[in-house]
Amino acid sequence: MSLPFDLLHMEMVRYGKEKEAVARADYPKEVLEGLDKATSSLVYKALASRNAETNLESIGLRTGFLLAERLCRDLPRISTELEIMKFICKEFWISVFGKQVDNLRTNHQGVYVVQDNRFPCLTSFSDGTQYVKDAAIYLCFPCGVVRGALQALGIQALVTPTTDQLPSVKFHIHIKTKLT
Amino acid sequence: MINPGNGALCISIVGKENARLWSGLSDDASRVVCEVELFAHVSLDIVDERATKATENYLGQVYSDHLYKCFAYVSSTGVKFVLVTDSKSQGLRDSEMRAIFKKLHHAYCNAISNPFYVVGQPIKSKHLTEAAKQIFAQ
Amino acid sequence: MSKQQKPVGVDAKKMSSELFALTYGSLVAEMLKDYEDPRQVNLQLDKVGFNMGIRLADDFLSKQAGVPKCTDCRQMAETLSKNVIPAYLGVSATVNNWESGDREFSLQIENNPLTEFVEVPQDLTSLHYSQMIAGAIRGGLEAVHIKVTTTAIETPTNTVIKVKFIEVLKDNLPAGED
Repeated sequence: MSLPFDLLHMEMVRYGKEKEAVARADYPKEVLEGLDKATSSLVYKALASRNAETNLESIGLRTGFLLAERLCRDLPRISTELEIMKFICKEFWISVFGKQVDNLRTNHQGVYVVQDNRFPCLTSFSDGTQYVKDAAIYLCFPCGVVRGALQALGIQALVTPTTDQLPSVKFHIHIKTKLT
Repeated sequence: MINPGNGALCISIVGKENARLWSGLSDDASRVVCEVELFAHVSLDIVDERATKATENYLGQVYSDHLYKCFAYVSSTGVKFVLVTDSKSQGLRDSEMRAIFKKLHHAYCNAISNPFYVVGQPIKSKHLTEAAKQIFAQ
Repeated sequence: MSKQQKPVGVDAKKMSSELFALTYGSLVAEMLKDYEDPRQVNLQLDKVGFNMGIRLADDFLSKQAGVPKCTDCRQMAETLSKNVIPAYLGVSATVNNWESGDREFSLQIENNPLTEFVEVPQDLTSLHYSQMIAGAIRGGLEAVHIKVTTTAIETPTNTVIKVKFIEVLKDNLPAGED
């Protein structure tokens, strides 16, 4: 991915976090006083209808939706669930992330695991496990992009990332509604 | 009597759950607006049916009666493009029809890429207006 | 099973440009949900651009060895229009509308990739859609110690970035230094 895009992504993350911090400052302090750190953190997340993660995912959702529409326009017709997943892993991934995915697994019951061992949104972090937690927020936009593309093609799905070691990531796709 | 020109009267773009996204009419259609739009609407069921078995986006002619013909194209994303023509006109070759739908699909993509457009709502876009104008003038 | 073809003529640079433009558009749309006043969005876009500009300045200077150090506004405008903007937006810009004795100018961007699909609605005329570009120019110049103000204005045919030179920033000496 290009430098301007990486910088834009960084700024989107910064914007999301700042908005969240401003919103938090408005939360009723009486409610949160006396709660331990873990509980108050959960309460914050529950109260924040628009926290940084949902903000980034939302931006990704629209972007992915539009990119999928543009991209599949010039390709042979995509109809089945399998064809959709192949499209996501090959043409779509190449166009958006500059490469194909490294692995695709499925349980044939609507769950897919897409693995990318050198995911572009993570390559600016040092390899390894040190920054796994910090990098997590950089996966919100890509998850949204994937979810948006699936939505464009008629699939409602939940997309969640797991990452054990940077820059490798697994996207878990749980299909909620299938195509007729 | 065969009329010159391609006889294109109406273009309709319909989204998921038959949401009406955009429609355009040629000057010739101004006298028969309701009829033509109704014809386009009625054709949608047939388009839906054909789309499920389609191996390519362009469906060709899907329906006709003594007055009008309907051609359709469905994107992989389920967006239906319908073109109603006058059945008396010279008509267009298959390759020209395909080119028309490609042009419309292109214009549609550009139109929805407007950041101020809310997906699923009716579209207002110069891209579509311009594309339709060129198609009707062909 | 039909054979999946490679995307017909996938142009990596074009796709990258589209991804950037669509992401930026989605960000603007999201910001408009966060703020009622579009002028607040302008400030946020400017900030986004400013932060990007600081880092882009480093990148630009490390790559463009042949570019001379700017000694006046005219040279600065020339570099921006012929080198910097093409390097990061992929299109060139023209310089015009010099005012205030060579301290103010406009950068006219003809085919701004950010606005290719954008049609700003009537009720949002106070939104400066491309303010990120203006902010980036401001940030990039500040990284090389040149302070300017910048504004992005959309016209029906192009994007205009108005640049006004304020001053050259000198390092502040700590208190107590002679």
